[in-house]
Amino acid sequence: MAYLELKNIKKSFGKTEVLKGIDFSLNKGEVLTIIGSSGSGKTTLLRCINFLESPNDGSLVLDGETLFDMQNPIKMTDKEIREKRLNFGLVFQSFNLFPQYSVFKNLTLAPTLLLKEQLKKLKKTEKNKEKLKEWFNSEREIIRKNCLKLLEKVGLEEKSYAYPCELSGGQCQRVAIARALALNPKILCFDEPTSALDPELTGEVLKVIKSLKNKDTTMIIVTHEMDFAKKVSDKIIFMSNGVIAEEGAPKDIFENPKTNELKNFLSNLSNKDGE
Amino acid sequence: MWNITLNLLSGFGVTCLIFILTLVFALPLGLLIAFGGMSSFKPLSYLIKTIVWVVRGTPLMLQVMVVFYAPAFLLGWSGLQCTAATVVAFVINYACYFSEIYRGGIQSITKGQYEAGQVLGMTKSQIFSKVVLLQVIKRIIAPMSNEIITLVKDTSLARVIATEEILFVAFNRYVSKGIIWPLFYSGAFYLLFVGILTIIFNKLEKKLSYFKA
Amino acid sequence: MKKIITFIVTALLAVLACFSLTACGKNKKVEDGATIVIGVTDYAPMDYLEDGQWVGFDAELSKIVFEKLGYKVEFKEIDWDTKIVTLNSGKIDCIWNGMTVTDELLDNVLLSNVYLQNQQYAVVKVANQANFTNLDSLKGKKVAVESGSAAEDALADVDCELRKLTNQNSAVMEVAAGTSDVAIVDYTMAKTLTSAGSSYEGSLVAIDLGFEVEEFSIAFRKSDSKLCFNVNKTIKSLINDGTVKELAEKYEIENLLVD
Repeated sequence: MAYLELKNIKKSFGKTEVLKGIDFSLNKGEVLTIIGSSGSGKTTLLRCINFLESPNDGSLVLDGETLFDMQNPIKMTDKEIREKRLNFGLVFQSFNLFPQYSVFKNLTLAPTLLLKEQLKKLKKTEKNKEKLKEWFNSEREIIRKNCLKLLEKVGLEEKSYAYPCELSGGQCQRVAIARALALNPKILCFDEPTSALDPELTGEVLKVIKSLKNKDTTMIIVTHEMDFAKKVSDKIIFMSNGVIAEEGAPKDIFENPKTNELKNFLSNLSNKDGE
Repeated sequence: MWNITLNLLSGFGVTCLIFILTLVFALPLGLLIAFGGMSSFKPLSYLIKTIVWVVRGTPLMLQVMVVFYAPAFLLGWSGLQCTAATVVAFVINYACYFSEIYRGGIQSITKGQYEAGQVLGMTKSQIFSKVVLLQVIKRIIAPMSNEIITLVKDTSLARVIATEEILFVAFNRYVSKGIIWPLFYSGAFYLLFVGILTIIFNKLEKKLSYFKA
Repeated sequence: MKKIITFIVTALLAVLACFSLTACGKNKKVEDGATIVIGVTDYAPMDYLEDGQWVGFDAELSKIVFEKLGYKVEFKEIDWDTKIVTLNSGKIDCIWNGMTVTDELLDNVLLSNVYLQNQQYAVVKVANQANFTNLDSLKGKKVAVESGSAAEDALADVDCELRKLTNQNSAVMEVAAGTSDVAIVDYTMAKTLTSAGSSYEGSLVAIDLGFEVEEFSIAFRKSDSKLCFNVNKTIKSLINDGTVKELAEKYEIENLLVD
């Protein structure tokens, strides 16, 4: 059984059906790229996976656990949604860094809040306050070290105490990637991570994403950067009008497109490059 | 001169009391009203919107009189002391004005900030307190300082129910005896107070200028 | 749209109805032996503060009267503009503050018998003093009065330009500022504002233009007729035994005594 399996995902906004039944599966350590023209439903699909939208139909199974199944819908509490959401990380097109916090605090905020919740729970059962405090401090130190390591990984360790407004777009997006990684998600999603960047800044971000690729990191990337998709993906999905029009290995998709939609999409892109 | 200063100061004490109590209660109450007005539970949000409409749509002076006299007329209950009635009316009035400022501030924060918090596993209250709040504060400081400075001077409306705030003292102790200058002297107290507030707000604004929101 | 208008009109009517149903407060009666709350303003020589205590002709007389009747007394400073509402709401039990009888008062409250006389005086700049000798000299002048006061009533038939202000002080201030030519105020007010210690001392002067004599009275709620009756009786006995005259001499207003 595949690591991640989506079945028949449907989503409508009012009368507009944006996703008309999406199925795909992904193995652990694989990189999936979703391409397609604007309005094809790529971003909505990503948002459904991250519980930012709730789909009208379909199911999602991750690592053997059913996270949602609209055929047998169960009422989920906010807390359950929160827990399930933590399986995924999401990097936004517009970064969405917290402007009032330093780069470092942007990374440590969420893990520290989770740690504090844990502490609160433990306080109910554990009587030894000293021991708890010790445990909390050591855990917090682990978070700090981990976050520093992540900043190193995205090449921004010297910007730890800078604020987002002092960074370039590319640097912001690298911080956002590190922030998503700080919670150690099973699957890391990117929603057009370079679309809001000046062309000369996309390179550094794509380089960072590429460097994350290893046998443990599973990624889903929505992008318009075809060269990048070609190089980094294990699998590519081409979406058109709310359905998967074509899927396969990068070579098949780019060198041997079968459907007319994909052919048109690719030729439009190359025309644009030619301009 | 010294005597008059002392008397005006005692009136100024009442002015400050009204000011401080109004802030202490109206600031949090305004937030509650703002949330109520934005609630997805329609009856609540309509009720709140109606209340805000009535309170913002009628003069504060009238509201002060209603709070002071209405219980006596309608229920035969002797009601609140004048200072207490003033504070109640001011709290209700200012909470409604504050709520609109809060609402504007909260709604100006982009959806992306909430979603970033969500995907990082934060609860709704964590997102509000840790992510949104400070950004909202930064955005509302300017309109809030305006409103709060207006509050300082609005306290003089309490005079209609004979609350002994500074302007009442100036009028009823001195002007009524033909001594006019304490009336203008009392203006200096307001000026001083507003001057201090202006400095505080500038400091606060400067303190939050390290980030862009 | 029609619905909205209907709603608004209904709501307004409901609010109005609430306020016209003022029966509760108005019906309040002072019980025997209770504390009577006397509504006053800082208005020398009738009621004024001295070292935190209310003194003056009215303050002393009211204390004597109510104590004779077995009540305790408390003074409460009120806003003069809203005195009738304040009385009818039950926040105070009577107004005893050198108050001249007006039509508005007659309609809304119960008034005691006259215990002092009053007269309207003109306040003008010293330099203009010679221009004001009688009521005719007000013709065509800008005249400042307190809105709803006895002075306004007294000027009803005089052909002048009336400036109606919220209180008598403002009327006098108008004259000092030059925005009005003359202010018509109570005798006591005119005397206080032009005497030593006032900002107007030496620049303004009080003149008798020959206004008709008026009456000072005490206001009660209409439901307190028994209390009013007893107060009338007590004051009469105090006039007869000379107490009132003594008090008037103490506060230098013996010319206001009822003949």
